[in-house]
Amino acid sequence: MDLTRFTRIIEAYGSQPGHWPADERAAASRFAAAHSTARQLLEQHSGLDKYLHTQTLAAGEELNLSRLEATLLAQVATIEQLANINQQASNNSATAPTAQARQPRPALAGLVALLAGTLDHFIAWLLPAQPQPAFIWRPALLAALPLIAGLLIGGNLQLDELDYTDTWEDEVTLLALVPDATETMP
Amino acid sequence: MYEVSDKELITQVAHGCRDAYRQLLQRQLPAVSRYVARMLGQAAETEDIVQEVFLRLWTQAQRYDPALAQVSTWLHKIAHNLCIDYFRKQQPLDFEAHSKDESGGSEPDAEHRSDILQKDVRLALLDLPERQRSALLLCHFQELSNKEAAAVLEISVDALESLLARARRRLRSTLEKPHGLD
Repeated sequence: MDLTRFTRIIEAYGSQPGHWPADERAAASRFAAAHSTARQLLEQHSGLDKYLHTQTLAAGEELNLSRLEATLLAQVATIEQLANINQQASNNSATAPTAQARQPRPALAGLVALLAGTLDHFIAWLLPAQPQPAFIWRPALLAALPLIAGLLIGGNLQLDELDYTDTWEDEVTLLALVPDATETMP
Repeated sequence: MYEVSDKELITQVAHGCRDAYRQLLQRQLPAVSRYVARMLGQAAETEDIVQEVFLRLWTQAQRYDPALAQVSTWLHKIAHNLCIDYFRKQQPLDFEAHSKDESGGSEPDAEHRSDILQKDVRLALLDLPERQRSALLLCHFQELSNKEAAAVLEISVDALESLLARARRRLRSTLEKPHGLD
């Protein structure tokens, strides 16, 4: 123990030996007894420690511990009950429904397998495992399919086109049939 | 008579023993609630935070590692972290509201002077930065060892001593202004 370490202890932990680090308490106490500088340092810090020592919680800061304890025990009991309910629910769901879910219906399973097999064959035909130039037309045909489909649809679609000329002529004819059409005009 | 240790009790709590939980509550609730109350001042959230600390004792007891810390240190660490979270979400403490003069302007008698002094010290503590306040509370009021307090704050003992020295220097400076400490 030297003055530097003693000063550090007093500045951090204060003047009361009970608050000093346990492994240095004895050495620091001996140092204080042997050096007047150390005792002066203790005296300087004792004022703050007296104030801190008398410090108690204000009336509004004290909690009602017995009420708090009862509240906590009640909350813990509720948590435990909920955990038990969840455990029972998961135990129930872990038996029958899981077993059923693992056995898909035969008809649906067969259809899914058929579709998957067909799709596999088509992809194998389209993109052979060993690509050859002779088969390049297959992906090209697939890529052109949307274009061909668009042309076919466009060629066969009957759109109702309006003949604006006929409409105009009809209107002039109707206007001519009105007897005094010119008189009504301003 | 053999007294079951905190570490044995928390092991039982981890296995769902409510009686062990009740015993730990009775041992640790007063100290932890004092720490939270002093950290927060008169905040209404003190009770909420203390409740949260002890609910975590129930729900997270299996995460406690007896090789790393005492049960009280572990609980103080949870409390400290919750207090720091609370401060981050809140506006700074309303120091003016806390320091409002209730003497009515008359000359205080000896008892009233002691109350005023206590209040000044309390306000000076609340005026400290949160980590400095926590360090001082843990070492001075909660009587944790320096290693335990350093573990709560997740810092080295050297860093703890620096925090404590700054806290005490600031307290002295604050309290010397109106009254003096001689």
